[in-house]
Amino acid sequence: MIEAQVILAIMGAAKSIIVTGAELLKDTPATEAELEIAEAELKSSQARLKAAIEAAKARIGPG
Amino acid sequence: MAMSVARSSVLFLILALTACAQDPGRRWLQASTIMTETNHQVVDLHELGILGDHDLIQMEPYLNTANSAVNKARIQLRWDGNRFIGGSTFDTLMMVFDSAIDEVTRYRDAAWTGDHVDPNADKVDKVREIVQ
Repeated sequence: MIEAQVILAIMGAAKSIIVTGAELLKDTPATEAELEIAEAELKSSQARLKAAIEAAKARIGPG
Repeated sequence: MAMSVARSSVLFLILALTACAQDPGRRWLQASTIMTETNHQVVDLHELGILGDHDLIQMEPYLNTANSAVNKARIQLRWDGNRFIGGSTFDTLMMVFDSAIDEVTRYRDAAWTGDHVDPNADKVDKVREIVQ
């Protein structure tokens, strides 16, 4: 079970590296369309993170 | 441990490359991509049980600071018809982002390896003051 979790986590990290690396290789001026897409993806990830944090706080409770 | 070192090395490379980006719009895009992937990765690790509820809550101030810096930096970008223009506030927010994401990485790696987390609180407090 632990091994499966680690493999999944490694796959997630590898995906992050590939996606981020591809973005970092670009060096042309950014366009408005690129920023709009990135902003939408950022907002989506922020909403997911916020939900996870709120759920964690609810489980732990006050204090 | 080896994986932790590898991830830290990759992040260092990413941050170094981000700092090298000249175009402000591209620089923000790179920061935004790193932030998006970091947000998803933290939640993924939490869902896998590698990061616990307490880990997530401890990381929240640094995640909020990094996310806030990216959001505010986006507002600073102005389109001049050909490209995006940044400014001194934009540059400061990008530095804040770099510092905050570094702390997030430290927390994440410490939780992963089970090491004690001892972040540089003074540095993070200063970063938070700038963002707020």
